[in-house]
Amino acid sequence: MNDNVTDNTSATDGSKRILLVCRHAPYGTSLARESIETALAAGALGVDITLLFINDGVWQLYNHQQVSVIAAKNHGAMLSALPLYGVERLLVDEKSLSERGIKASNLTDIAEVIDKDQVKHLLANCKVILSF
Amino acid sequence: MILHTVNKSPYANQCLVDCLTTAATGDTIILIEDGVYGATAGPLFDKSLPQLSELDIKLYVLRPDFEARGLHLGQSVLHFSLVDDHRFVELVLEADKVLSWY
Amino acid sequence: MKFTIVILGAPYSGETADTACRFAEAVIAQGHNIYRLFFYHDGVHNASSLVTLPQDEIQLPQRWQQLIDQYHLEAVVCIASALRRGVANDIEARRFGKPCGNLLEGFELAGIGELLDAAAHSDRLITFGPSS
Repeated sequence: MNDNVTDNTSATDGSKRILLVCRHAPYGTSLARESIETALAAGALGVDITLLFINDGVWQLYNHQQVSVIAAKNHGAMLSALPLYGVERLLVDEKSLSERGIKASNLTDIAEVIDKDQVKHLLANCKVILSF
Repeated sequence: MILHTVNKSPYANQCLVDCLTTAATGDTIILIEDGVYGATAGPLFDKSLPQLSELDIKLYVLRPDFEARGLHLGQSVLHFSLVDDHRFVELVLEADKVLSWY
Repeated sequence: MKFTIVILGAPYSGETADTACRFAEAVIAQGHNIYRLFFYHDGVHNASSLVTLPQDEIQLPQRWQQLIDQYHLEAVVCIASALRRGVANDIEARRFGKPCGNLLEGFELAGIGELLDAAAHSDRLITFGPSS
């Protein structure tokens, strides 16, 4: 997957590449959930999409979410459905993790950690951004 | 080149700082709604300011939102331009894409 | 140039809908086209016919409706977001045993696929996030 992030010739220069930027934590608002529903729809429709988890969006990937009491669906479980829908490019910003004291081992293993240069490259090379 | 929109006050929300951290050389930023309080640039985010000039990032502020709040030019150490809704549309066209920080 | 405008904020609760509506008017005034308005998240409340404000205040749903009507715009309201927030057309209301629909004329309910289609087929896509 790392190759896709840095490869100029194919993965990041696609003229219709959609980048979904996920900046919000799960549960507090429905933004995180609705962003993942967008990604699931993209997967179901065969639309090429990449997800970038940055800022508080990285909390979506945090392990061991338990929603037995609050009125919400388990966000982590929802995320884990993404690869089943063919959405496999899930990237997480390293700087946002370190700012929050989150280790990569605290995250579900479906996402790949990328550094700030890779984030810049990703933003520069997508065609359109869906901001969540 | 990306146009970033920011719609939250930097005194209450990380949006502007996060945007400044992520924006690249040649990008533009427009402050809208409560984001226009960013144009008062108090000492709270002083350390983000040098980045702006280093990166050659142009800063715009949506005039109707700015004036509605009683703000006026001269309150900021930042260099920014006030723009109307029409110029906002042009800024979107001048950029390749838009990233919204909210 | 073809624009898609994504609206995530409810009228009255914040400025989002007003900012987005002004932007849409400016796009049209400059001779550009609007490929689609997409109402998502709390933005679906813009399509409610039950929004009622004092007469001297701007009625945003009606302002959208005028714009949609005058320029034949496509105004899509995400069906999943809408139903969860109590915005429905008569067909959906009946389907779920609700007393009546409240979707304003001019708006249509559809899936997230319409957002992905818009991302692929517009020259520019701009998201107006919630104010609060």
